[in-house]
Amino acid sequence: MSAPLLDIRDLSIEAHKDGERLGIVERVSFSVATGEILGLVGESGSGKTVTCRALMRLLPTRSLRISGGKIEFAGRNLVTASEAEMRHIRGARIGMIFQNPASHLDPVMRIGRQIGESLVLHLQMSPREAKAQTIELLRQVGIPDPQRRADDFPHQFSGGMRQRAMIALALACSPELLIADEPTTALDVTVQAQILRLLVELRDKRGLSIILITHDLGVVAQTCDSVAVMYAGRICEKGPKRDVLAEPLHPYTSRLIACQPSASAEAGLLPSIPGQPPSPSAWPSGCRFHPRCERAIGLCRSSAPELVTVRSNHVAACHVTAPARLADEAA
Amino acid sequence: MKAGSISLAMPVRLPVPLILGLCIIGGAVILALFAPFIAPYDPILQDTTNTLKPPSRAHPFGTDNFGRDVFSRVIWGTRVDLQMGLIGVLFPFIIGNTIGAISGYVGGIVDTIFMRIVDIVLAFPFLVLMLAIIAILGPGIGSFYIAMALVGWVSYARLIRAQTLVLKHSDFVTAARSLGFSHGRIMFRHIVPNALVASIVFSMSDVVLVILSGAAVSYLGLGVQPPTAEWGIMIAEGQNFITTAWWITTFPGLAIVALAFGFSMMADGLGELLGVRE
Amino acid sequence: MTALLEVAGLEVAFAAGGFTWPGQAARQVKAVNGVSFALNAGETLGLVGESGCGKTTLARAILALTEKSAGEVLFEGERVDRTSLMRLRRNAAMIFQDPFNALNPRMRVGDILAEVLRVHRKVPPDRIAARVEELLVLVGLSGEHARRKPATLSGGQCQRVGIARALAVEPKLIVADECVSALDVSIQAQIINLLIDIRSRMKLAMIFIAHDLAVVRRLCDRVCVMYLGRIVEEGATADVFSAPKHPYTQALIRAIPEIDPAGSLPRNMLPGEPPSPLDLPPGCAFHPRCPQAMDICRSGDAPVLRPAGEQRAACLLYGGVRH
Ligand SMILES: Nc1ncnc2c1ncn2[C@@H]1O[C@H](COP(=O)(O)OP(=O)(O)OP(=O)(O)O)[C@@H](O)[C@H]1O
Ligand SMILES: Nc1ncnc2c1ncn2[C@@H]1O[C@H](COP(=O)(O)OP(=O)(O)OP(=O)(O)O)[C@@H](O)[C@H]1O
Ligand SMILES: [Mg+2]
Ligand SMILES: [Mg+2]
Repeated sequence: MSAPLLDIRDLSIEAHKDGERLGIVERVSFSVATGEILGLVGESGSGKTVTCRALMRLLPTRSLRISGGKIEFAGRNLVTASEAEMRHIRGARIGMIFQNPASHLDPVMRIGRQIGESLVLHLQMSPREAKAQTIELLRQVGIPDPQRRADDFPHQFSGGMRQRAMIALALACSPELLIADEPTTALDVTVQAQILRLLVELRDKRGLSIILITHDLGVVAQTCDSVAVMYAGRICEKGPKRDVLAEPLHPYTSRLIACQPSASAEAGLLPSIPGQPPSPSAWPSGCRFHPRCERAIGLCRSSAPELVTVRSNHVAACHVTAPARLADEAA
Repeated sequence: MKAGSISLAMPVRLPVPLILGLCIIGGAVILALFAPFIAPYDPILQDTTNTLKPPSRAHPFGTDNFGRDVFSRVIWGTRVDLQMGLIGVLFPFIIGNTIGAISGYVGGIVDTIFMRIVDIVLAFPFLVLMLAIIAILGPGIGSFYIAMALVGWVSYARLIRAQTLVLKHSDFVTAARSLGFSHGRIMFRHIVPNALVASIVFSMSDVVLVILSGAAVSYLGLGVQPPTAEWGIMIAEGQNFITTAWWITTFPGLAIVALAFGFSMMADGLGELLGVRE
Repeated sequence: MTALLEVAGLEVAFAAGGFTWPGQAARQVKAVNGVSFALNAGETLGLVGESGCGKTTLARAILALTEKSAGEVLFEGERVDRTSLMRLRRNAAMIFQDPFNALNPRMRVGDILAEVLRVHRKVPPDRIAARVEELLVLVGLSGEHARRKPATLSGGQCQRVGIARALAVEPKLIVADECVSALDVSIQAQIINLLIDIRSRMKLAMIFIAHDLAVVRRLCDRVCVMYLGRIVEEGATADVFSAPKHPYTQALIRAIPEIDPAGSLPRNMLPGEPPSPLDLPPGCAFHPRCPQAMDICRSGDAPVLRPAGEQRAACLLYGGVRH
């Protein structure tokens, strides 16, 4: 296989807080091949957004910084790339759909102009072409009557429409890699399916690679090729979608799958993972999931498990389940 | 606690420009407050035997054409110029922010009227309008403050109005409305504290502008009146001797630059600290 | 017994963007177009529908946060207007979608809650601090969080503060607009469970807007399905989910993603472009995309809600049709 489009190795990110250094993301590695869709799932606060912002070198420099590792994109290490170089990559070669569109759309600029501007800037389109292209993009993401709605301000759009405008903005310059940070949270299931279909189609036609951050494992099942699961700043499991969803190894992944509400169930309480997600200022020792894990053993408290390969490409970091599975496979 | 565990890192990491700005302005404030004790001579005392002396040990910045000590005059000038900058910003700040916030929050006809007024004020060149107002009121520092208030508020009004318009649609303001809070409470507890940040940062760079226009107005003989020690006047009076006695104009000029630099560093630093700019 | 909330023929129109010639009538987006329903005390109504169909606008119009252009809202049998607005404000509260934007970033969590208590005189001044702590504990936080600013809390914690603020008014009605869509499944489950618990303890009525139909199914007694500003189906949750009647509802329910490791995207059930709310098509607004559209669907007035099975649907497939 040729080199992957994006290869992240041992990426660590630190926060400065009150003169202290907190490890927000620790030694995260994954890669995305051309035309691959990678699902990135995990608890709130596990560092998914921070990892992806680091990729774009868009961390708030005063509070967060990359403290180690490398990010190789199309043969270039983005960790050391200059700001000028990044400006050419951002938007044009890597597109990002931000998690909260409300704060990434300019409230006082018309939607159409915001998209058109980036087309003029990166693709040197004439304003006329840009306008036509903008309307086509808005149509693709399912905004009805795009001609006229392009003249609206963000606050005149519904929540879901703003999110779709954000998607149009990220796709505007036909990037090679798309980072979609929870792109469909504000969309109903039919529009969500339409957007996902659009992304998959772009992948099939143009070989677009996608990192899809989501909380919805149903979406992962429908669209992704592989999955990486993050917990408390570390990757705890990754592998091909089928393997991870059908035979999850890490207890956190299993619990996550069990928590997914199903539409066929009756009324009543929803299953959830007991306990609170840990915070970077007080990471648990050893395996960071151990305080909430019902299969934890003494070893989990004292030492952090390494990622172990249990089958080709399927890796997990657990002291209990990974060795058990390895033994099974050997037998 | 062990002595060794005391970390040198400050609890909040202050941006470098802010620290620099604070040092410069702090220094200026100390000079202004303690001018009588720091300045070696009386700033308006004339000594005709000692005119136009170049910098020396006795007169570090030299003397002017009336034999006054330039060093003492620069120190006393800090008082006047600092006061001019602060008062000259205070009134526009209050007037502009009040009008802008009301205009943006109420909207409709009120907004239209206020914004037309702003447009009219902005249609005139800044200094020309100021000089016209001072000319009508008669020269003097009081006229300068009034003119500054009448002209300077528009920038604050526009800035805070834009912020208010955006905040008005934000969820937390909608939440406040849905909880039945009064308009006054929504405006002063929820919108203004969030909108004011940009204005505060702007006011820091505005101080620079005010000091420079104050100096300019005094230079033209319309602001602070001689023989008061004020940097603008000193430069104006010294310009006849610029080729022969460079020190009379250079040191007050440097003082203006230093204070302006301090305030603009402060503006940058505050902006960074309060998250106006990333 | 009168219903807690009654909405009759509610319409909301916004002036649309874009250029209009002088003399030409200003274009309008009919975001809500003649919606009527009733909600009883203690009942939870789910509101679902396509993105942009007017759910948020409806919710805001009910709470008098957006000007309505026609129709009326009755709260406990009394019309909500300028004079009786305060009554609604004291008895209804809203929970927002974006947990971070819904809290004033410059206020501490404790002050945010105390302000509500003070304005509504819920407790004597010396009891405020204690009550704030009680509210925080009720939503699964602790008194320690009162001193924090929203920016130092996680999304789930902010959402809990938002819920605590809504509960501080001791409302009879809570309107929750997509209040869990920004949260991950585990925290989402905790918040939903919290709502289920509080609802039964305080006998709260709730209007719950959501895209996650699985959550709606768990939480709601009744559902209204909206399409382009109108309610197209309404009925008990179990009925609507097990036997959807309106073709739009059917498409919606079939599109729910399930975790099937071999899953793939469902094929497009709704071909064609959604019609523009700026000029609605004649007849049933869904006809351009409806697989079962008939000629009569394409003209005349929009169909009204009629009994269809256990529930009611606004579709000509279910009676009211003369051949
Ligand atoms: N600017 C910052 N300074 C300090 N800490 C930060 C900053 N931004 C994020 N963090 C911390 O980094 C951690 C990871 O945050 P991140 O936003 O990446 O989570 P996430 O996985 O995207 O969660 P979610 O699913 O809720 O979006 C959190 O604990 C958060 O508090
Ligand atoms: N302030 C406004 N001015 C003009 N049009 C608006 C305004 N608010 C909403 N709209 C329009 O009204 C329609 C309905 O919007 P609304 O926010 O109610 O949708 P929604 O059902 O909540 O959608 P979503 O699920 O995406 O949040 C949309 O077409 C939207 O563009
Ligand atoms: Mg995130
Ligand atoms: Mg909405």
